[in-house]
Amino acid sequence: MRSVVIFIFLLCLPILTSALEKDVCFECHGKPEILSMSPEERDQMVTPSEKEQEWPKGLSSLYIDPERFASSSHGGFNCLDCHNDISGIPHPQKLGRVDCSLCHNEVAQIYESNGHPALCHQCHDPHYVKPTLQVQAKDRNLPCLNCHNKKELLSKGYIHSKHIGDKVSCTACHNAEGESRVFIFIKGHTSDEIKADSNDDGFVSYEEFKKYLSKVKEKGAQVKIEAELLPLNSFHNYVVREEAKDCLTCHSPRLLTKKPILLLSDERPLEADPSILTRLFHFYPIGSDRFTLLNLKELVSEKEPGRFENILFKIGWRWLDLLGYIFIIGAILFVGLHGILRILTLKWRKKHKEE
Amino acid sequence: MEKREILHPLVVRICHWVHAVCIVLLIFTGFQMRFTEVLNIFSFEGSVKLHNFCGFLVLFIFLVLGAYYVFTGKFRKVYLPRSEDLKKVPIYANYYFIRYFFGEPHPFTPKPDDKFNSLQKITYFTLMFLLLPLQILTGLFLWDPSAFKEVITFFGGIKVIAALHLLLAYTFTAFVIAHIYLATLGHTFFSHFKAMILGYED
Repeated sequence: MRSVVIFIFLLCLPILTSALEKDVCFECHGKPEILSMSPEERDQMVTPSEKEQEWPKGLSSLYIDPERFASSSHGGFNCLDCHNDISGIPHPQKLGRVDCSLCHNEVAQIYESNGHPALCHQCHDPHYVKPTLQVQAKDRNLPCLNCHNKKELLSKGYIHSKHIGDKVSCTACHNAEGESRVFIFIKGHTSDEIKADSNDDGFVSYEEFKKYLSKVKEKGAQVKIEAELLPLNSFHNYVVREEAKDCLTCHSPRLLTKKPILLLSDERPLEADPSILTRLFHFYPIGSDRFTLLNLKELVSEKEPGRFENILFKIGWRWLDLLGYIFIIGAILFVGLHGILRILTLKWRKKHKEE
Repeated sequence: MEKREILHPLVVRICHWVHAVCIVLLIFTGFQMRFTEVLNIFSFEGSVKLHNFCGFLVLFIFLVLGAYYVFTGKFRKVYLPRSEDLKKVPIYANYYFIRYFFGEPHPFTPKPDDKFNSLQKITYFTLMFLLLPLQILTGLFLWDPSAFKEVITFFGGIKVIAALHLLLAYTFTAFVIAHIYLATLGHTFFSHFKAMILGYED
C-alpha cells in the first residue's frame, strides 16, 4: 500500500506542483498510511532540509483527516494559507512555524503578554479546531491538563478539587477579561420541524423550552441534555476573573440572573430563561436554585389561576425550601406552644404532684 | 451506697455529644451554603470544608455506634420497634400532648436494655437507621459527584440526590429543635441532659 501511495505521488508530481489546492496535499497527508511509513519512505516524498526543526512538536500529526478538517473552523482554508513557506511539491521536509497571529492578532498579543510558555499548536490542533461555543468543558480542559497535572492543581487550592472535571471549564474562571455562562448542550435531536425558539425572537423562554422537550419526546427522539459552565469568550488571559473569586457568583441564586446559552445541533446559539436550569437533573451548583423572596413575591402577586400554576411549575426544585420551612416552623410551633402550656400549667402540675 | 444503673454507657455518651456537635455544625454550614446572604458565619469555602469534615465524622460515629449496638446485641432490644410499639404510640402521644400538663407521671421507666418508649423507638430507629444512612450516602455523593457519577445517574441525577439531601437536612433540623426541647421534659429540667453526661438519672 505504501509503495502504491509513493508511486501515485511520483506519477502526479508534475500536476501537483501546478495546482496546490488542499486536495493535492491530502493525496499524501489525507491518508493514514503516512503514519506507518518509514522515515526513508517519507524522505522520498520531500526535499531534504538542512536545518533542524526549531520549534517544539505540537498536537498535529502528518495525517490530517480530510472530513474532520472540512468540518473544523479552518476547513474553508487552503493548506498554503497557513503553510505559506511551501512553494511547490515536493516541499521541504522541515516546514517553518505557522504564524497564527496573522489572523488571530488580538488573541496572540494578549496571550504573549501573560507569559504562558506554550505555543498555539501545542494546545490547539489547528486542523480540527471548532467554533468556541461548540467545545465542551472536557475538551476545553484537555490542553490545560496536558501540562498542569491534577496533583499540581490540587496543591494550588481546595477550589480546584471541586471544579476539575467535565462540568466546568478552566477558562470559566481563568479568563480575566471574559464572561462565563451556563451552556446547555442538547444532543440527539435532528428534526428541523421542531425548534426551541418557536417564535424566532432569539430567546428561549421557559415555556418554549418545555414545549420543545415535549415535542421531541412525542417524536420519540432521545435527547441528552448537558449543562456546563463555560466562558462566553476566551481571551487567552488566564488571570482569574474578579467575579470568579467570589464563590457566590455561581453558588447562589445570582447564577439564575444570567441568561444561559442554549446550544442545539441544528439551531444557532440561543439565550434562554435561567429558570430552565432548575429543571435540569444533572446540573446543580449548591444553593443556586433556592427559593427566594422574589419567587414569593411573584407567587403572591399572581392572581390568575393559570398563571399561578405556571409560576408554581417554574419554581421547580425550589419548592423543597417551602417544604423545609414548613418542617422547621412546625417544630418551632410545637416547642413554642408546648412550652407556653407548660409554663401556664406549672402551678397546676406542682399541686398535682404534691397530692 | 446504692449502685446507680448506667442508662447510657460511656461509648454511647461520647458518640452522642460528638454527633450532636457535628449535626449542629452540619446544619449551620449546610444552611450557610444555601442561604449565604442570610447566614454568614464562615466563608463559603470554609463552610464547605467544615461541612465535609463533620459529614465524615458523622459517618465514623454512625459506624462506631452501629457496631456497638449490633455486637452487644442491644440493637434489637433498644432500637428495633416491634408491632406492639406501634399500638402503644397513642399512649405516649396522649402523655406528651395532654396528660403531661396535668402533672401525671411518665408511663414509661427507662432501663439499660429498654431505655426508649415506643414513640422514641420508632422515631430514633427511623432517624438513626433509615434517614441518617440515607443522608450520609447522599452527602457522600455530593462530596465528589464525579467519583460517584454512575450511581448518581442511576438515581436520576445530581438534582435528585441534592433534593433528597436537602429534604433530609430540613427533617433533621426540625428533629434537633424538638429533640432539645423534649430533653427538658424529664423529672427535672436538666435530668435527661445530666443522664447523657453522667450516664445515669437521679
